[in-house]
Amino acid sequence: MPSTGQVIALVAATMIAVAGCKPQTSTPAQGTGAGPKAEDRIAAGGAVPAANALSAPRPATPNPDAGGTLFAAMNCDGCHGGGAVGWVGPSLVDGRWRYGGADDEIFTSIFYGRPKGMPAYGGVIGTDGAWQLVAYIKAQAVPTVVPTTSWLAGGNATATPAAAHEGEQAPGAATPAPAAPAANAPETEVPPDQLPAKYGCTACHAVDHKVVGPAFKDVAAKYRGKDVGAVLSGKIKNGGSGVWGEIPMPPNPQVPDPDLQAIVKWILSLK
Amino acid sequence: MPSSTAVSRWSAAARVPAVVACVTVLLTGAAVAQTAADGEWTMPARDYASTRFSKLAEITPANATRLKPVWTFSTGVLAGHEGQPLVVKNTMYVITPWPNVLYAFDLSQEGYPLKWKYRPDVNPNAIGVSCCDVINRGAFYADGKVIYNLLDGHTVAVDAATGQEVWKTQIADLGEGETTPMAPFVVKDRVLVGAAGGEFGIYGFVKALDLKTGKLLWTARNLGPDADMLVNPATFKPFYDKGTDLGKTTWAGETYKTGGGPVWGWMSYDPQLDLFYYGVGNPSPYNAEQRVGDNKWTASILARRPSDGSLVWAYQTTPHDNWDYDAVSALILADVSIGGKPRKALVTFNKNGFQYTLDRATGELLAAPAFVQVTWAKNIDLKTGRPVLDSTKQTGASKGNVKGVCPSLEGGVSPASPAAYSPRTRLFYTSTNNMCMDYAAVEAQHFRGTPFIGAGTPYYAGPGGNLGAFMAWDASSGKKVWELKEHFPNWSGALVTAGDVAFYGTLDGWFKAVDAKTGKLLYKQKVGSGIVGNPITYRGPDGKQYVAVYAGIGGDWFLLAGDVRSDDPADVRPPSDPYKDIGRHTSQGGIVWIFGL
Repeated sequence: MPSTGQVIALVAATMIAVAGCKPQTSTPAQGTGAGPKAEDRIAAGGAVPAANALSAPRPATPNPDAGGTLFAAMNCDGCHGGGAVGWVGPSLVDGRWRYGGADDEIFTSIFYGRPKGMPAYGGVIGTDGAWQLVAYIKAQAVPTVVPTTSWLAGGNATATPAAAHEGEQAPGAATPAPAAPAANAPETEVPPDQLPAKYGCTACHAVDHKVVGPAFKDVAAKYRGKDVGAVLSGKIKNGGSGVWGEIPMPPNPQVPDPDLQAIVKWILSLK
Repeated sequence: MPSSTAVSRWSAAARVPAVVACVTVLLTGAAVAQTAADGEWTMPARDYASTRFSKLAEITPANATRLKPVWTFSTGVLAGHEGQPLVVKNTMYVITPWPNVLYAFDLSQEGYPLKWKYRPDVNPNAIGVSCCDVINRGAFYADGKVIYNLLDGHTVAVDAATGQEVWKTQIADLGEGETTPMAPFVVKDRVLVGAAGGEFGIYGFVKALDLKTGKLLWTARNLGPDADMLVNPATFKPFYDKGTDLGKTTWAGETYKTGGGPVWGWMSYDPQLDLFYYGVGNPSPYNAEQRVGDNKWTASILARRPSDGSLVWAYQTTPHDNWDYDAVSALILADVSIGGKPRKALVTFNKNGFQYTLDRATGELLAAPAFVQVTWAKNIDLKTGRPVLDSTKQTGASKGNVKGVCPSLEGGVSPASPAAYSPRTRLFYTSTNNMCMDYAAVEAQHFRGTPFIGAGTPYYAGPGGNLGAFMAWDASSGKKVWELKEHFPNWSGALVTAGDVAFYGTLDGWFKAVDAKTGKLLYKQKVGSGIVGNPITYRGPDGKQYVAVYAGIGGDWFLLAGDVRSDDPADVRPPSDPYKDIGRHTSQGGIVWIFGL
């Protein structure tokens, strides 16, 4: 039993999310055999996934780290828990699968959704994003399953007598652990090319290809020679949409101004 | 493991031949109508004042030690069995968690066989859109119909006699992240319903349906501009906050449109004032820096007219809620003496740890003592109605991991655990949780139909080490009268009777009867799975008093995280950290229990 002041973390903490999406129209998957009927699934962001995604070109080397960032940015952890250990949705790191654990099967679960409420994410993250998530999930260590849980002396489970407190009087108040100091300013000097990762930009952007948002190089090309530093800073800070499609850029008020300017300067320097 | 406790399968009471029971009802029904009604349980909290108090007095502290199980039934569903059965005309109605089967048991026959069961087609996508579990909080009996919500956003009315569906109306959209676990509330010819989805960035609402037809009559948002909220400036009189479009101007930009404000708790109604009351849940997302402002009217208590939905008053318990302190706990209407004066009050135990006593005609705050350990605020200022905040416990993405926030976001009491009030003892009875949390907010982005949260919030035990309790509380003095500490978070509702016995259940699966005046334990029985439902009491066809409760742990995944569902072997997890040993004492289940003398 936890004693006073003992701080124990809950396994399934929920976290993050970074990019956004409004409903958009695209061709629903139907009659393809590649996925279920779109209307049977919840379309994440209202964006219906494209048909025949499994036959589309696959990234040569899907990046598990980018997949891990997407796992938080796309709200996957809101249901599957931080570290994918399970929450209202099942654990994805226990080596057991409702719908199959082969790469194509996991891809299909992510891209087209599943009937117990797993949303279809294909319309939001595209095939590259889904393959990155597959890479992330498959990269997780699967713990050894111990079939026996034992509360006997020397057993592998935590044994505590229940109802030990029945009828006790209310305790005196004690103060829990003090709060950690809040952090608001950049603590250390980070090179400009690493700032996008620090602030979660890389969940949706990559330097040389479109992910959810446009490639940084494409942004640089679009605005080359134009004085748009303040405009882009505002877009990052306050969000926006319409320039690169319907999927909105979320606001990022957490980025301090010096880092914001450094990010914009770095993006516009890309060629 | 599932219960294998041996109990008698039927009571002696149920052996009364059906024909005799019918005759008895016919002969006595008209003459003692009031008494007959006293023996029934027709709405979630038994009465419009939400007291969960029964006038039945056969079970007393003197004889409750002789209580025994008289009947059990497996619902066939493994999930959190919140809510409570109804008993009307010698029939018990039970709603299961998803897939929301409605069972009608004939209490006048031996073994209580089914009269019928109603098995609706409920969209399984609702499972994934539920924040926490696929629970249902019960039904409401009115006009010969059993009315309840299917989890996938539909309200249904089923003929109480035949089990035939009378009407079915879609009131919420899974694609928006809306689900419907609450019990509908019927006032006159209005069926009042709302949707959950505070973890999905919904635009929260209540709706009124026509009792006869299920037709939508009005929709009132819980946030947003006055027009959406059904606010008429001439008749909206909040006690503290003045101005127009408060549900919009207290939000940065357009953030109210994904601002949450769900309705998944309990409603009350005062027939004299013709006002119904309900609590609004948390603002979305959990990272409060994405929605600067008070965020009205989330984490608030609202009073509306049932006829047209117009808002009469509103009181915000947690302005700019940045700890997920929904205000959807039971709202009990009772006459409470404040400063020596009797007041027509609304009493509620809020998730944020304060017990609010409001004037239910005006929304004026009369008292707000803390009922558990509270660190996020020092107190509630009775002049302004606002909390006096502790600046070190304010959360947000820029603030990093804020430690030592009490209560945890599971609440000083879970709203799933409605309190009870006895006009005899003038005490309130409620489960409580003794947990604190750390709160690390991060940026969250809204994708329709997916979680919109942005916080990691590990829990741990508060002072004393016990994680829960059951207590009696005097709202006049703002003080605890007695308390029974429980090892685990306590998640059941409360029941209190004119026999001065209070009933509750524990997460490790004990059903308990205690002396309402002293808290002395009178009876306990292990029931196979943890109790998160709400006990009720009724008079059987034999004239005797019975008590019924669901066993079936769940309602929030942390309650039994790590357990292996027997019907889902493809999901294995480590145990939940606040109390790794819960799995030693209980397992998932779904059992209806009836106790009697």
